[in-house]
Amino acid sequence: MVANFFDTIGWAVLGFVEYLGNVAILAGASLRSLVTQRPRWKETVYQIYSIGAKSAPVVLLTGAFMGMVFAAQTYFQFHKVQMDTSTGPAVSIALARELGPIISSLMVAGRVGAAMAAEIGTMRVTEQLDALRSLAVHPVDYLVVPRLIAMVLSLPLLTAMSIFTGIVCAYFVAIEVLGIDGAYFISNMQKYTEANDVYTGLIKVFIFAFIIVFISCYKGLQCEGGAEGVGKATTEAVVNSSIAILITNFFATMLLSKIIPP
Amino acid sequence: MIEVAHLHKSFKGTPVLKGVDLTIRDSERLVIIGGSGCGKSVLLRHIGGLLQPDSGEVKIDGQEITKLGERELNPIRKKIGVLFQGAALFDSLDVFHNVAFSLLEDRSHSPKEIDERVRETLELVGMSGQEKKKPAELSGGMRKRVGLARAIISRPKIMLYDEPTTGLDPQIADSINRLILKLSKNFNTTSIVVTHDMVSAYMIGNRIAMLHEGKILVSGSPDEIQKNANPIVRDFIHGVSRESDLQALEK
Repeated sequence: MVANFFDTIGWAVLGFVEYLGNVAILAGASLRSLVTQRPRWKETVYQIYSIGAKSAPVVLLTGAFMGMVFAAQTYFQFHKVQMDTSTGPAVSIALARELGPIISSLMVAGRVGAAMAAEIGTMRVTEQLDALRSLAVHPVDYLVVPRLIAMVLSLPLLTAMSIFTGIVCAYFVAIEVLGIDGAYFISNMQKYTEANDVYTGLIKVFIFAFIIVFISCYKGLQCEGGAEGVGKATTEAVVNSSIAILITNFFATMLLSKIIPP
Repeated sequence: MIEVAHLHKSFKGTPVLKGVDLTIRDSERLVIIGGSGCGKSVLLRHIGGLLQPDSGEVKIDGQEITKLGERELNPIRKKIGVLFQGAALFDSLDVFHNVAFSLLEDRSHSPKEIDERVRETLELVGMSGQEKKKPAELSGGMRKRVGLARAIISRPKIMLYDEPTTGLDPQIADSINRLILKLSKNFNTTSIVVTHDMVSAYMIGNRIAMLHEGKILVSGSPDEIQKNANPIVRDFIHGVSRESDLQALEK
């Protein structure tokens, strides 16, 4: 009984380490391809449109409502201690450092990560990956690298737009709905929000971009078993990317707080 | 020349190929027959460098390919065209870009040259005027033709066909068989066809090899195969049910 328990734990740990190793191998192959192979601009531009432009509405919408609700909740608490005008900096710092990067990355992981795993997974189960290989084209060069470049360029921009929209919407809720003095809201925000707050958030999404692409593409490339396998790969890509983003966020925050003190 | 020696391959502990030995001469049309799941497609994939064996060798023009890495295999793969069972057309690309894929990737051809080669190849497979269609808009037979056009556009020395007529009606299957013969003769390619369709096998092959229980059981001309006295071969080519299957049905 006890031996079985440790057996199960042992296999689970081995499986997890193997999974991490395989994702790391894909990451290594992708970065090597990025440096040594010619870029595929046409596919990259299409992926920028697909990942960046098509994700913009959903990321901006979540950014806007996140800013509004965070302004309202912050005001409700700060009002109790007569700190209404501190709502501005609280909202802007939280959006720039944590909420903007995390919510944008999770939204993109859900929308784009799922699409990546489903598309590549379908290609795998319908022999299209083998067809690529038979035509002397490496799937990493053709499928992973353009998505990686597009994600690394798009996600920081989407996050910056999300933060900006969140702050603008928070301003309108704070001033027009909650009655905070606009001049103080702006001046306090400017006084306490620094460029480093934005840099911290953008550095984190840069890391999240790699996580989303490598996990989602890996799940697609390893997909097996027809439609059921594609569904499983898609779900796992979103769940694993989201968990990896949240875990990495904690460690990145702690590390960046040493390098760029808040 | 293609030489396969002592090829072994297992999947999740189940042996599929148990020591395949086979030699295919230049310009030969070899048809590999055998029951479903006997490893015909697995053997074909090893020859195309798409699978790595557990042990054994595959030599293409004297070069051993089983130890080569993915990128080292690319020059070999350029000599080989593959028609996959489901055609494996790229869903996101139209017919023109599917067929032109290898020329576009090669980057050594002018747009005019690519345009001409695609039109010429599509005409050869009877698919002229379908350039703008997406794979989803094509029937099974049309997909196979486009897949064939994509495989032959770079004039490979070796063509591998995985179940080229499976799922097609007899008339379309016949036209695909004729197309394979025509391409083989026009371009003098070495053709390896995997099928369990005996009509295709007799029509295409100048040699037929039967894979059974992970090994080549017999190999010979279509006439020799038809006259073979081995009951396994005889039952297979005449479509006689296996004794074990009949007993299972009765139970």
